[in-house]
Amino acid sequence: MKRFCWFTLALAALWVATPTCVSAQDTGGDGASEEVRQDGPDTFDSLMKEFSEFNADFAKSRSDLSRRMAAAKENEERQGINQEFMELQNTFQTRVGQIGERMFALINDETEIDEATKILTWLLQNVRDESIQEQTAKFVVAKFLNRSDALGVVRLLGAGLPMAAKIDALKLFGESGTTEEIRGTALMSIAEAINTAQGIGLEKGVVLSGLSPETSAYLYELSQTTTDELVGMYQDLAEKYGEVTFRNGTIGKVAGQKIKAIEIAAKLKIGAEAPDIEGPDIDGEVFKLSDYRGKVVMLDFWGDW
Amino acid sequence: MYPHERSLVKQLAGLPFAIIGVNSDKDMDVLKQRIEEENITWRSFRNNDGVDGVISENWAIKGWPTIFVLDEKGVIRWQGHGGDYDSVIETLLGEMGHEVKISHQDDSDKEDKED
Repeated sequence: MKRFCWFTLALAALWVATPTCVSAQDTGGDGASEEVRQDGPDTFDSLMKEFSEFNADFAKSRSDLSRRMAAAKENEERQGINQEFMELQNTFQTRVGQIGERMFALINDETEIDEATKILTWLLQNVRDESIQEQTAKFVVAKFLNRSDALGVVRLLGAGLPMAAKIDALKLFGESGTTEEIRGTALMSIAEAINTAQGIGLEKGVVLSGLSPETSAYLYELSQTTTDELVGMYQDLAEKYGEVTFRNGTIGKVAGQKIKAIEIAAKLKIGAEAPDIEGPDIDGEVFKLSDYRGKVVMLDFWGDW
Repeated sequence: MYPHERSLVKQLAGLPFAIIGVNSDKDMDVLKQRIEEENITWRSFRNNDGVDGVISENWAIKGWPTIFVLDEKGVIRWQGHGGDYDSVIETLLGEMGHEVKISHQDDSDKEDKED
């Protein structure tokens, strides 16, 4: 029962993780996935139409795979379905990348702000191809750094997997954004990116599946920020931008939670003494983890799902 | 998972080893029934409020299951979501002078049942 749960979870994790992590074949531009060009020059609307058509096809394929996963009985079969899922995501990202390039070709310095916002928003939300993401981030800076309505695109820069171009853009918004909200959100996103990079737990020189060596190295570099430094960043943010709205709360609140979580994680390292637990067991009888000193203990956070 | 844990309990009986759970199920009646069905003999704390409970919050648990292996002094020696912690248990029991080799063949009938 629990093992089944793991594979379901693995699939669920892929839903979230693959769009950001799998883009290995994005730049391959192989002929396998055909581009269907429509007549006339591209417009935002025509590209969106093309995108939503193949997006619907892929969504159907994904739900077919999910259904097969739910019905799969053998581990091998599940792994095979996971594999198919990843391939599907790769193909999907290749198609998204192709649309992304044509989308990007629609904007230049003269593009009106409403049109630019639509296009950049779509690019930031959908494209995983690193070179397009890089160009997009630079264009966002050029177009929005001196604008007071930059918050939406700044939020999007901070979403997804961190990469150098996006963090550089966020640093600029953090320094010279025109409102407190923009600056706070940008700086908070940088702290969050470091937190994310540390969560991945990358080793030096390891290239993450689907990412370029440069971005993997950059993530490693981010992850090397010391705990004190990161806690310092959050404290600073809470002090200067504490009241600014961030996610479901404020920067002050989110930063406070992060500081607490970082401190707990530091206490729970291998080699550290485990904190004691005291409380009722399933039958309501109170006991303590430290009652078991003198024994090797396997502490299992579990649930019967 | 349960077969693996049952197998550890069985093989390491009599040695200074214990499995302690932190359970995040909300429905205690269903859980008690499952404990009976699955022959879960190890003790569990109740993580009130399910996966958002206070114990898992204090332990910064982000995924379920998460396993910690503690030595006789209560020092964390391994943590993860699965994988090869058997060898860690062997090493730690070895440090206490109990040579043991864990293998899970004799519980295979229950593995089948679980699928």
